[in-house]
Amino acid sequence: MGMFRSKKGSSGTGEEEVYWIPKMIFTIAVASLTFFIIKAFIATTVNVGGLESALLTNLPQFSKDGFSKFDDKTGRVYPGVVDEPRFTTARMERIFKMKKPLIIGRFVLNQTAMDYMQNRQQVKVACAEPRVACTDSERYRIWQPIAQVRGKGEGGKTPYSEVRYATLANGKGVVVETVFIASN
Amino acid sequence: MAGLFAGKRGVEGVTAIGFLIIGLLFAGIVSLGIVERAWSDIKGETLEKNYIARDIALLLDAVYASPGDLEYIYSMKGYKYVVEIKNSKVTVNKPGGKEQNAAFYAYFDGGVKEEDKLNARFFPIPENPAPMLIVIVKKDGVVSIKENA
Repeated sequence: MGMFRSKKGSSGTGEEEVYWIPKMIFTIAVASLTFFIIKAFIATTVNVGGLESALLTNLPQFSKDGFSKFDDKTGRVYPGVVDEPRFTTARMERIFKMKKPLIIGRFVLNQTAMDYMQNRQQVKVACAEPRVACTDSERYRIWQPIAQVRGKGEGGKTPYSEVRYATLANGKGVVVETVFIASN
Repeated sequence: MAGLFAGKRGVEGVTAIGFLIIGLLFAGIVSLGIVERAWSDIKGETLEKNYIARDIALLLDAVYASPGDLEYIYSMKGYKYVVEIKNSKVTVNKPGGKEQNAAFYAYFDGGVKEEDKLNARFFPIPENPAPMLIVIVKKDGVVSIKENA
């Protein structure tokens, strides 16, 4: 017990003994900061948001469970032909079902320019609207304002948009506008 | 023994050094993990693992998106990593590596039933110079995965 006596006697720990705690914490803090500085200057990951969004845009167009016209007798998928009854958020959520996805998307069927000039229709883009299909409606509702307001690369949400021309099953032209939002 | 480390005030030197050693020990234990991680980043292993996880995950996205049957052979080239595909997620790690150092990336399997979800693990053979080949097969809408020996 004499070992722990300060020069003032048996009052307990002295100055040195008290200061070892902040010294240790400081040492750990410096080591951690050094690690983070090193990490900031080294590439440790690859950004695949753009590529993944292009792949996932193809998924419902080429998959037999997607929104393209599908002939169940022959098993053939018609990728450029959209079957409107299959263009629903429920169907997209079944395909893209995942607990915590890092990328979510929305597909919107819009009029072609010619159609728009002849018969303008108001565009509604909420996930529950007809001609709109979201892969995860709840998450899209939360992520979209972040991706839109903060711009590309900021706020941890980056949008990737794409436009494709297709036809409906009845032969009418349509524009499929897609946007995928990736979490950085 | 106390005399060896005695400061001007007598036996106080032993106490001060004792606490210093304890503090350095704690800091060293914490720093070891950090240094190990930083070294792994510098060597490029973190980037490699992240790259391979994303590459395989995007490949599986493409396979599930394709309408017909296909067979694709993915070469791991010279990389000797453990690849696990489970619960719609690709995990890549060094053999015997800690779980927190693994890289992972999710893929979309089109909402398949639980029993049809992929569940496989591939271990590299260190002494085998040939690259590990992962074979992905899609037949009649069902995707399976195996190693090409």
